[in-house]
Amino acid sequence: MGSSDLLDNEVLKELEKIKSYPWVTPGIVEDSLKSVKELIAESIEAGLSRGTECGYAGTKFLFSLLEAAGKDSADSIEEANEIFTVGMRIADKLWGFLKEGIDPEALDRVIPQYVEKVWHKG
Amino acid sequence: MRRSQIFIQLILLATLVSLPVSYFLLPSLYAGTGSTRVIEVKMRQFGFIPERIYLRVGDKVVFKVTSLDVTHGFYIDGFNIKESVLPGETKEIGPIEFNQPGKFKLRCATPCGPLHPFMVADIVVEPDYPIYIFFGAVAVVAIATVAYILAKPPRGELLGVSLDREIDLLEVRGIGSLLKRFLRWRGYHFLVILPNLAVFMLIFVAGTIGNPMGAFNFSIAVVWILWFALVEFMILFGSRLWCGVCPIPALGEWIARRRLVGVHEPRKWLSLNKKWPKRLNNMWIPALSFLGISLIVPWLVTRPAVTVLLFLVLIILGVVLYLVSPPRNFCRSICPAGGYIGYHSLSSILAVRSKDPSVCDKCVVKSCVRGSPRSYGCPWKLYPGGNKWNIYCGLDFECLKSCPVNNMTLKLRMIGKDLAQRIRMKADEAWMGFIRFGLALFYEMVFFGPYAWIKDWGNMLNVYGANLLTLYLLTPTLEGFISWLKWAGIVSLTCLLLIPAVFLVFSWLAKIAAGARKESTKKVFLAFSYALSPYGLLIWIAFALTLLGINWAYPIRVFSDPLGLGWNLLGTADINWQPFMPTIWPYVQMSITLFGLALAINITYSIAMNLFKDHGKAIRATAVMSIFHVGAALFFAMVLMG
Repeated sequence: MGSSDLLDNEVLKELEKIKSYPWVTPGIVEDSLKSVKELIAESIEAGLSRGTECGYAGTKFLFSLLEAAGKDSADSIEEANEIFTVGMRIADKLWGFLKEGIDPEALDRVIPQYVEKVWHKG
Repeated sequence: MRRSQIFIQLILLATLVSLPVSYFLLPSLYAGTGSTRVIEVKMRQFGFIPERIYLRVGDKVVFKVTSLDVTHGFYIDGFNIKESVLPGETKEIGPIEFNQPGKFKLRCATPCGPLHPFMVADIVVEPDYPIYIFFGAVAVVAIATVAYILAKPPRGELLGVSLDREIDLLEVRGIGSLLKRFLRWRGYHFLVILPNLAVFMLIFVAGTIGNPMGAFNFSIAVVWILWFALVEFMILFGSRLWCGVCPIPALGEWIARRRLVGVHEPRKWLSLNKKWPKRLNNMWIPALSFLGISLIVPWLVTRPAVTVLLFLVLIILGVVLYLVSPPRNFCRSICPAGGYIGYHSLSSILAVRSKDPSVCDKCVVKSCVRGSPRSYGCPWKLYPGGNKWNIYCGLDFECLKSCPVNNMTLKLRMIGKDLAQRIRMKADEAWMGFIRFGLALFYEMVFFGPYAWIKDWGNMLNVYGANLLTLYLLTPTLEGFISWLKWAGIVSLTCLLLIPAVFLVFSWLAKIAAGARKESTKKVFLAFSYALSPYGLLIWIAFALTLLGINWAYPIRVFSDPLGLGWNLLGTADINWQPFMPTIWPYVQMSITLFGLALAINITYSIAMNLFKDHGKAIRATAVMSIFHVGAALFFAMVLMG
């Protein structure tokens, strides 16, 4: 499967939701998505629960973005909720991909394409 | 401010201040008009014969003191007399003129065995006016508090202080931001646990090979005088702060997390991850184990070997349970100290709470529960955002680190606030309250009272100190064991049955007086029992203060000579034992108890309002329950000065 075949519409829709926050830049989204993917891969390998770990991955996504943006906290609880939910859903999708046997490196290659598509589609 | 508020606050302040002041005024009222007497006193491990000596103000006394066994020291609180008496020797001490009425403690001043710090007798100088002053003060505080609640104070008020008044410690200018940074720093726990762990290791070494005499051993002097007293204060001002820095579960936590400081990802714990049984999710084990430990307390607080064995058991349990069923199930549901600290934390002035609960209601992130890269989920299995009680909040501050909108904070509030605002009814917690309340009164009588027979019972008639290497010295004789059974029976029956039974009768009468016959007696009984949380804590603080005031020299000495081997590392090993202002402590203790009494009555009224929703009913029920609380204060006054 080529990396462009992994571009999932649901993931794109999720990322669209956080595009409106001015402090969420494509660079930090890409890094955060990669860290979420690594966490999910390690969690699958460690035999952890999908539900619990995807929830945790949501917080990982949120706090990675905050840290990368140099922010101590989100601006509002609504903002935090939305970013967390996006992170959790994407983590769940990534979990599905990895469980299907997709190569983690292929996912690494597709993550920049997601960001490119959402932030630079013109 | 309303008149009733001013009234109660003035009366309370005047009473609490006037007690210590009366200590200084009383002597000036009396002149030396008594007679000269000779009184024979015999000293033996660990008591005096007679146990109580009655004098008149102005009496000049010559004491003919004989030691029946080992070398003892003769010391009277408030008099500059300290004489050693050798075994078999009879020494004349005096004449000593007693110009102040009241009760004075006669103490052994030469370490004579494990129970030496508690070897005391009473000298009652009559007329014993201080006891009447104490009784009068109890009456004044009780009447003033009832008068205050008769004036129908607003629901959100306790002793004239609005419960809405809170200080957000993390917002205090200057220190707030520093405190926030410190508590949110991941290294905080490791930093504060590390020195405690070093102290624990020293305790093990001292308890194993150090001096078998408790007064000269780090494990006894530091744990059972210094730590014990400080923890009581820490509960009032810092809730479960100790639990957050306690090294007992730390080893298990570090191993299970595979991290000393950071957050481990993926979150696979080095643990069997067994589910904690639901029926153990309460305070029964801590309450009963605390009582169980109290049954051996005359050995525990005087023999290094017993202290070390207890700590070994706790550490092994703490580590094993963490590795079987993380996170802090041991601290929540097993640890005896964690149990009573948690119970009294219900009344503490410090609390971790959400700034705005509605924000937590809307939050779906719930990183305070599930964890985040910055923090673990609450190790105490709470949902911090919705937490309204301190009892199981271990002050680990993980929620402060994990909240994505910084909605968690540290608040200072009125003592007993949570108990005044909503009802809580749990039998396990109620019994923890009865055990603690009963033991506070019991310990004051046993350890600072003159009754050598009950000390002998609890001590199994054993006169030896022991470290772990000489543990065999503690093998009790049959007679000693039977004596201990009597002690254990008295303590257990008093705490488990007698006090709860009396409280139940008062609760039933209160319900009848309130005209709420349909209300469940059990519900009223359990709800009212929480008034003992602040009351008991303050009585324990009063006890701990005296323990520290009288025996302060022992912990200071052992810092220089932790093993009791004649070292002098810090130059403090030679400090002479001399109680610090010993005669003023009963007055200070009584003032603290009276504050507890006022709180107990007012919180009872708040609980009654929450139960019956009617001022008249609440007043009548409170009046009945107040008799119980006043009775306890009078008993305490009797023990202190009667």
